[in-house]
Amino acid sequence: MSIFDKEIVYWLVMASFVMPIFLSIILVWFLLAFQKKKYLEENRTKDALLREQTLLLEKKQAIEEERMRIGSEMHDDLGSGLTTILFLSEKAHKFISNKDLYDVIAKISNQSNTLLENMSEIIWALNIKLDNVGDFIAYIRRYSGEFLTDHGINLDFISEGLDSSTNITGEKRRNLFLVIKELLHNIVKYSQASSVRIRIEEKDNELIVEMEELGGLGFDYDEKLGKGNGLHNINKRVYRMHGNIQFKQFDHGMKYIITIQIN
Amino acid sequence: MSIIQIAIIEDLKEVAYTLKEIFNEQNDMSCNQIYHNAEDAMLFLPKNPVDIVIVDIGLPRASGLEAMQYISNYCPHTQFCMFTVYDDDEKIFESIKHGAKGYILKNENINKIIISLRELYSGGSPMSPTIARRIIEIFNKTMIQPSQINLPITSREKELLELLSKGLLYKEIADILNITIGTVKQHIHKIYDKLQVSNRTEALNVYKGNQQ
Repeated sequence: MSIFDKEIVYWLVMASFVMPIFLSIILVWFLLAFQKKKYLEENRTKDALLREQTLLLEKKQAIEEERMRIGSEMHDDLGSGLTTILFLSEKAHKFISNKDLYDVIAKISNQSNTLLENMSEIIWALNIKLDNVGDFIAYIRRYSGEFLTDHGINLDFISEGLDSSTNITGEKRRNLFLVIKELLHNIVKYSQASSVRIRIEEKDNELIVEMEELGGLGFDYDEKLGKGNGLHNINKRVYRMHGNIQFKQFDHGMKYIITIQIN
Repeated sequence: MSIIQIAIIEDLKEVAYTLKEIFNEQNDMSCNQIYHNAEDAMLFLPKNPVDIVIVDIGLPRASGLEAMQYISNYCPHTQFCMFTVYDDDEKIFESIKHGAKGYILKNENINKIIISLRELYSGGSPMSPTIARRIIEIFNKTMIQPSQINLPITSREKELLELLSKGLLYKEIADILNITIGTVKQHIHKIYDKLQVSNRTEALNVYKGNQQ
């Protein structure tokens, strides 16, 4: 019995030493295998993500290149044609004494001038280098300043919280610019205002543009809607930007508040 | 009164001839050289230097920019004025970096074109907000790199660039800085001079770097 006992004790001792070691080896092996699998999986998703990002980037670059190409082709082809028409009509003026004919030529000249201006604005919107808030606000400021000064109206321009480098797409730039342009044209045409205050603020990924007439007549929005004054057009463009516009009537004229999400 | 001698490089014949006629109607302007491509201008203009060359950027073969760079080597006193559809054009900025001192817009009123040329002749230049922003970037970069010549851009000029880059009109800037519009434009002209020097230095540094 004593021999038997000894053997049992021996095996028991052995087992109690070996088993934990064995178990830990298995455990470690499992852990390692699991880690490796996880690592591989992570890598695979990382790869897929990277590939997706590269694809997106390539797509973005392709779109940007295309934008620049369209811009430069418009500039070269349409630009030269329109410039020629503009200069020819300018020249024709000198030879004409008939008033009716003179007026027609003046219309051709004005129209080609407007087209050249519109074309410049499209090329401006297509230029990816200008897809930032800084260049955009400067463009609006200069346009409003020149346009209002030409019509004897003062401009008071205030900007707050602007981060010049914030990205803003060409499409948003174009739509927002055209809304502001349309409002400015309406102010000059109908309001009789003596000055305009424009305040632009960037806040929580939003761009808020406030335009206020001083000494203007003001109008009732519901009454004027759809009477060929561009209000429909303005609403359409604001809607396209998923933005919001308010028309407020005061004693001193109108106040327009446009809010759009930047990104 | 001295007469401003003008040459035109423009491939649109109607545009070039109309401009020529208008210039010759002015008491203080004379234009008797028209070129419809860069190559002809490069061949003949160095022998018949003028005060101002109006250069269309997009020409059939060599570009207006190339023509300007070539001709300016032979005519150091000639000023180049780019003729463009709009002033935010990348090529306008490139031209200014390489020595153009002005630009006129193709849809600008004829009287305004004439005024711009007179201003250019007396040392005044225009600048769009975009160009101002780009120049600020360039000067900021040059300040950081000590290997390059630290440009002697004055604080006044810096202030002016900042205001221009925000889209303020010449008139507003003149009021803020308490100077005349003419002085604003002369400051711009000087800034263009410095930009050209900086651009040359940069090009030279790149060249030296390649040689080492």
